[in-house]
Amino acid sequence: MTIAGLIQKEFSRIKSDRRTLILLFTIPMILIVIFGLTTGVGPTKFFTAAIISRDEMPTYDNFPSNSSEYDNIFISIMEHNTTAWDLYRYFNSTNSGEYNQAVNQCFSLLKNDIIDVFIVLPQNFSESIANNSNPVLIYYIDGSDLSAVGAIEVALQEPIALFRVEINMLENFTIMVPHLEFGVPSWESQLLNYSLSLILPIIIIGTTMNLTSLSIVSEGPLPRMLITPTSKRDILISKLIANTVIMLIQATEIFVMTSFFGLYSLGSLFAFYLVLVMIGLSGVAIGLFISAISPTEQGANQMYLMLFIVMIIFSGTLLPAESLGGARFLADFLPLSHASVLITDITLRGLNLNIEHMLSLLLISLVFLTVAYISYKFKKLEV
Amino acid sequence: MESSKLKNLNLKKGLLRLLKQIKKEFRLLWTDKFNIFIALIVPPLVVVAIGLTSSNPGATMQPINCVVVSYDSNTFIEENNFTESELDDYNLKYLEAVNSSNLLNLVQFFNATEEIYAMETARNYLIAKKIKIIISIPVDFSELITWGYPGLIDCITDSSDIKKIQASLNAVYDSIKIFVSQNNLTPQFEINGFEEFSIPEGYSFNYNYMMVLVLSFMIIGVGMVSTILTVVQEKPVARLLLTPVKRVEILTAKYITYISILIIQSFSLIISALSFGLYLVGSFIDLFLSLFILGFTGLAIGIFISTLSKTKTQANQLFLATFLVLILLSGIFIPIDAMPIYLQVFAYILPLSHGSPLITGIITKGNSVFGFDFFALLSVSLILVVASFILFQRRKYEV
Repeated sequence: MTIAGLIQKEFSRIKSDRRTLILLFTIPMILIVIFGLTTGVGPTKFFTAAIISRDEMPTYDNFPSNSSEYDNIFISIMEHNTTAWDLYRYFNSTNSGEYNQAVNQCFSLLKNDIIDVFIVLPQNFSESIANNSNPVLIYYIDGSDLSAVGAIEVALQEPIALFRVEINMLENFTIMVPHLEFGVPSWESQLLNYSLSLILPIIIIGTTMNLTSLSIVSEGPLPRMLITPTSKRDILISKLIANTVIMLIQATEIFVMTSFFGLYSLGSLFAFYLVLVMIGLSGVAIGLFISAISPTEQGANQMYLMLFIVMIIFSGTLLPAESLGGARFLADFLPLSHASVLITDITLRGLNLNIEHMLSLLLISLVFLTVAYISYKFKKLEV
Repeated sequence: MESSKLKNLNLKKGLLRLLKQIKKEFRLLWTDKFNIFIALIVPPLVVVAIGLTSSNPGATMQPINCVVVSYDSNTFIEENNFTESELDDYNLKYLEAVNSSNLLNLVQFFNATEEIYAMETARNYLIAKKIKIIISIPVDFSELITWGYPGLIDCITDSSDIKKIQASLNAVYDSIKIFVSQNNLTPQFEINGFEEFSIPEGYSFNYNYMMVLVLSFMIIGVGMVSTILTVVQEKPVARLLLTPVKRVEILTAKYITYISILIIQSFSLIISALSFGLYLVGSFIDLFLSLFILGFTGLAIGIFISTLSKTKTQANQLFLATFLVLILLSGIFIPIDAMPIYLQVFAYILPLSHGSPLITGIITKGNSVFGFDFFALLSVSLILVVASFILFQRRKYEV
């Protein structure tokens, strides 16, 4: 049988499995539609907080007066004027007993995840402002919430800035104004475009692996075909070509769908399409590898599913690549870590194809294909 | 009396059949060595791989590359009275603060008065990924601070990776704090923070953070992988139904067998995680129960898919579709708060979205396992268990 004949046979086999084909083309469509139709990204309130004011408690030392004119202004700003804060409640403590009670309540709110942080305004809060000395803010944060711990001090600058403007405390005030470069503009579909670098590679690799991981192991007549002049190499090549064609159609569908549902790309669309194809090719190669080395259909199934889970864990997106330490080589050897960088570079940064990552993807595909060929060549098949 | 005796006898017979079914399931499982490898060896192996490579408690953060572009030496013209000013006293002082910050690595300083294409060069550095931040000091920076107005510093960050924006802002904020302190610019707000429920010194912050994600991800994933073919692949079921064995008994036996595997899985995961330095404030039992309920939900999804599917390929495809939805909408990659309401409701039904809060609550806060997340997972898994029994009861088999 010629390679053309084998490819034709392979297409007939794929066509007969209509369910896989439907899945291959509908999953990306559904997910892109969901993400594409969703506008906006990012929570409207980043921190839910409680405030305990001790400002009305008597002050001594350098502050003989007992002023408390500023705590209410700060609380009011936290409640009404900030964009990043949601004030859950505030406590006005006039003595130690009330303060201890408030602290206990706040710890309980913190422990039960009702608030992310509680802020304490000390006894001398208003006095410090009136005397032009440094006012102190004390916060207690849920340290188990990494994102909250990392963002709290910068987030506090918003109510502090608004407060300083409100009470005209502008002297020696230095603040940063952030500008987000290479971000997705607010009028674009932010959810789709920020998650694109992640969802597209996962969908493409997952579905193409699904398509190919059973292609060798589940085909009963293959051993009999080997009695004819058809070689194992021809069989593998025909499967690679047929599955690559299906993958190309899927990549085209994904490309059209993302463009239709709000793809925001500063870079070349052709480069973007090429990246999708390269990701698909690595999925096909890994699928063929699984199918070639698995002794049974069930083994191939389980290996595909497990490998897919491991690939996601070491993709560099679930766990940041920097924190993987020595396990980073695993991330580098799997296609997802290269795929997300390539997509981000093209869509958000407007860069050309990153040759290093493209070659890495190609190398990964070639390694898996070579191992698939070697193991299939030495695989013992019973007719 | 006789009817109660008959009932007892039937019950005994039923239990005996169930025991035999469980024995058969274990034998069947034992024949599939690869499945045993996936169920029992791979999960602790992944934990060991991460533990060996990232459990070093002394790991520090890398400083972020930046450039400073200063326009401060340019001539500033006051809008109200058109007076010119060329103050730049605070320009180099801020630069010193940037150099003092451990969170920033100053790659280059541009004085835009002398280099008119400074910002363009800086932007090229940003595009080429040489730097992550451009700090721009405006023309009126020193003037405003000297005259008692707020001094603004522009911070242009690479936002292509949404997860890293905060780290860049924190680094610039650190330099401002140093600048204010070194130059004694008062009055300033002093912020004193205390972290509650955080990972103490001596434990790896990274490892503990990763374990929360990996444990929930692995236990649900492996639970699904090891069970999706359990009903659909078993050909002798049709013939088994000709014997007195009931469908309920067949499925119950499968659940009991895989629950036993799940118990071993949960133990092995916890022990391997603890041996590499997982910080645990709560009780071992609570952590075990949390992994168990997560794994049970994965197992229930797997068996549900298996009873729903007519062929192995179909089960495989349904797994992929479910798994994709599960990981993309569970808040791991895209925060649930950032999703629209209808997706948020859906996300809270998915088991993976309860994994992190449940495990974090136990290991860092010592919370009890019996909270909202536990009962949400229990409800979802019970619904799936009931649905799988109904589907299996109605499944048509040809002998």
